[in-house]
Amino acid sequence: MRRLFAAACAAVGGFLSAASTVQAQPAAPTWSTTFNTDVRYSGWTNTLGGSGSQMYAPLGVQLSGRPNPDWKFNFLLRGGAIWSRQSTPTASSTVSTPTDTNFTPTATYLGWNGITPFVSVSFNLPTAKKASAPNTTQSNNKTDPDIVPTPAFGEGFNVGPTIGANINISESFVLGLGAGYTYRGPFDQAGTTTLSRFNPGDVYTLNSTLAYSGDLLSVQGSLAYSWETTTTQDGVALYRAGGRIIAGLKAAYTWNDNWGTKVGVNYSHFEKNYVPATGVPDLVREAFNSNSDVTKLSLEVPYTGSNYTVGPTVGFLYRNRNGYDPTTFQFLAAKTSWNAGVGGSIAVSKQLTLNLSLQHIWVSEGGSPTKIDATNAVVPNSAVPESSTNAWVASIGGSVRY
Amino acid sequence: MRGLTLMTAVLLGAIAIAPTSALTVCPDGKTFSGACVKPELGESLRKQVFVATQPKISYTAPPVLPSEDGSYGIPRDYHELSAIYGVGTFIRPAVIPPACVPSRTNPC
Repeated sequence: MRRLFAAACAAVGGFLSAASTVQAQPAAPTWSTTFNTDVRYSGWTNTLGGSGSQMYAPLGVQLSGRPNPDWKFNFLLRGGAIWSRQSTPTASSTVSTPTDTNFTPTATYLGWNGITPFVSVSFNLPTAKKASAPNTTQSNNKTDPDIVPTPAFGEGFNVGPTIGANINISESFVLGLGAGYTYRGPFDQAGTTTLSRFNPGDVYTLNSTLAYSGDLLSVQGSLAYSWETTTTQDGVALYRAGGRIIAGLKAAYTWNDNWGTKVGVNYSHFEKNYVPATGVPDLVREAFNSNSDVTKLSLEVPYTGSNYTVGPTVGFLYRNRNGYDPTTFQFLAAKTSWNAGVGGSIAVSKQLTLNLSLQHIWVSEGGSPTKIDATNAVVPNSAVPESSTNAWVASIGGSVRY
Repeated sequence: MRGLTLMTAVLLGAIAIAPTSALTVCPDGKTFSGACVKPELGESLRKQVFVATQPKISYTAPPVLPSEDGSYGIPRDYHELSAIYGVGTFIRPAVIPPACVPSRTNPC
């Protein structure tokens, strides 16, 4: 084993020294460090008598360098804190916790013509507080994942390696290919009645992204497919998520020195989940798809001045239909959401950039009739009324780079 | 573990003997003819591929700088949020209108 490891190290060392000799004009080693934060406040009220707010304060540090002309390294460290409060007509609760901590090193090899491979491993260290006791009003209940940046707090130790490559078709046209695996460790999480140990399913994902960057127009299209292993609760199979397709397209056009336009479209679709069934030992494919398709659109019209950019933003989200999980009687309503606001950034100096944004969000969720369980019995109080939510989201952030 | 070490050695060895464009040092990657790819293009594409292949690495600390959350956001898995965290689970208000009982005069 030691000999093999030594051989690998020798290969690395030999390669690095060999690579450095083939460059006629090796670039001087350069490293840069970026500190970045983007504090976000979300506050909302809904027509069911609920309200809440969340302050999310992430902080990231990235070290990027090129110690050798053929190698580029990035090291990202990210943490932060969350304060969240929510209330219903019956109760209220608050949570304050550090976020989980992410550490992601990435290595990119730049020595080949036409192909730029990279490898990355992301670690999620479970530093966030979890809901540790059963609580019917735990603060992560009913926080809208399309309003707040972090709808759920706390998970296990996760490790995600990715291997990929850019296929450099031309100077302005590149195809990216990647394959990733995410190991997700077990963790304890309180539900409404009991404390359970969840072991979320691991995730496999393939992605291809095609991008063009011209003088005035840039376009990027991405397609990803994920599949998962079984999620268990207290050692018992809970469900296995169906395959997931995520497609995205974003484009930007520069009209003149000052004005530009950015548009984005995202679409996600889940295939049917695999769920427990009475009298059957294995999970079975659900009869009706309890997942919804989600489409998101965004539009920005930035105006760029001498050292600043500012402009309006508009967004739209559409969840196409109601999803209902008959095993847990959980209902996910169809939803339409609009947002409008303004955002901008200013370069205070060569090293310091500040950014601000303010958005208002209007959410309309559908209702549903009373549910009937697998034995055709009516589930009491299972009807869901229609509701609408008004929310404000503001953010202030900055980057320091040296 | 032994296999992994061997794979690493073979991969790095292959990279070491691979042909390179000896005289060009580009900011971020080269085309097959040796021209330099636009640096922001290569970097943003790599980040997009990486983020897309790790859709569930972390809810509270995704692997990008905070200011990049919007640009590289991944759509949420609503079913998982509901099944594990209870997010989106409907909680009935305390004051509930009396349930309508269908009758001949009031079919509700």
